[in-house]
Amino acid sequence: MTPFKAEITLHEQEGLAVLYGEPMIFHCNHYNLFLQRTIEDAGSYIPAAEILTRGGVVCTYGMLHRLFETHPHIRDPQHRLRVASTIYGQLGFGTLDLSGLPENGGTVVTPLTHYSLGWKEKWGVREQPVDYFTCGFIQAAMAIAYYKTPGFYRVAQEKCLSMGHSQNEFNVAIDPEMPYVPVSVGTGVTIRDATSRRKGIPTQVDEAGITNAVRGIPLEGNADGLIPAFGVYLTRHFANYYNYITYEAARAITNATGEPELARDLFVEAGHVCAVYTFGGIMESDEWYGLVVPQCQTREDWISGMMAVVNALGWGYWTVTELDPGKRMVLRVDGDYESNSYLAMYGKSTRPVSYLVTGGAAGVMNLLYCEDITTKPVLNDDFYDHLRRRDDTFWGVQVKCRAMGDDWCEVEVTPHS
Amino acid sequence: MGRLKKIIDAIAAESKGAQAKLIVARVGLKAGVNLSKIDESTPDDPVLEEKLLKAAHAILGKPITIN
Repeated sequence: MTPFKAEITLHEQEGLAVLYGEPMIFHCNHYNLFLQRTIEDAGSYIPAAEILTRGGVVCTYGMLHRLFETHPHIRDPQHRLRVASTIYGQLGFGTLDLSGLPENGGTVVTPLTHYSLGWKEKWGVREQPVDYFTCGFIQAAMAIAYYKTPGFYRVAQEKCLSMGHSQNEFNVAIDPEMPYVPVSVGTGVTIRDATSRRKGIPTQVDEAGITNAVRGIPLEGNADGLIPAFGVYLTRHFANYYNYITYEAARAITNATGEPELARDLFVEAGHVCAVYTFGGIMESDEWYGLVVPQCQTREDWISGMMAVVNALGWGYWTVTELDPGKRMVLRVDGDYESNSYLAMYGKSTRPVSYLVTGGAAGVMNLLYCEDITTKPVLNDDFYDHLRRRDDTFWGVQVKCRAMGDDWCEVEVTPHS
Repeated sequence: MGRLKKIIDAIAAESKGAQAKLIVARVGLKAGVNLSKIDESTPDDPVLEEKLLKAAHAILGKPITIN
């Protein structure tokens, strides 16, 4: 039997990559872990573990439900579980063998997962298991395989690499309460077309050519189900996972404390972490030096080149509309994946919600004008800490947001102090 | 200056620049308290003080002491 391979399709007008109705985006281990840690930090007064797990259920169930509608001949539960396991590895989450799991649940053992390995490598051993996403993924896969509701099973991680165990172990059981689990919003509220109305700063680089070239790079899980690339571990993750866990955590924090902005700076910083490690890693890579650097005459061309790469990641379309080198940048984003979901999940927002965009924009400026990514510095915690301690480190502020009713998002980046 | 503001200043003094701001934000998130609303005139509050010191210890990996 030929192994199943999930097809991710490009929605070019919106700048999205879609897997059976679910928008998929690249994010690295540093972003994934920083964001999760932020939500866990509020865990003494919000149901952090439930939010992080349920986010995995929502997006995985939505994707698999549409997948098996598209492939109605795949009806056998074991076949469905094999398909889910394959997709898990293809997207870079690690290795997961769900085959053989009976309808009443059981135990799943994995040698490694993106989250468990990533946490251990970044922050060392912890006391609690880390892989809530995989718990949610397994829960959804079991529900789809056995034609149950998404809340039919519950999954608990019993062993974890991040706790010092030699492998990960997940226990699957029937949840007698069968709780309600919301339905994924899919691609959400998208834009009509961003490909023709954007006008960025003048540049020498062929932005469309770079975007298309990067879209063609095969970034899929290796034999370990990981995507080591550009000095990080990438995942091709569910946009709706990030959006669900971020916005539901923010909502729970607001309900518990009355403070809607309590986590804002940290959600934004997750985006900055992402930019420093992933954008930085890209700008130090052989691919960058082969494809982009030969087209660059100025440091500002590096920024345009980076925007062209970002526009291949499924994040909508990023355009730098104003740039005062070393001082100020204005970034416009059409069709950001955060607003797409927010609008579909909650309607209009009274506050900007494009956290990834806001932090990411500052990260671009920091890599080019605060530090000097052209000298290929080592991108590690010391580098990051030094960058954020500097008086001239850049900081982003979102001044327009589609979720607030604007036609596009806009972020202004200036020095922090 | 009240003790709560002194605690926040001591937490911020563990770093510089944006990093200091982010550490304070993380302590505030962990404690469930908006620390930007605390200033020199905020009256002492032993319960909140204990909460902040506990959160700061967990995040910084060491206790914060003030005079």
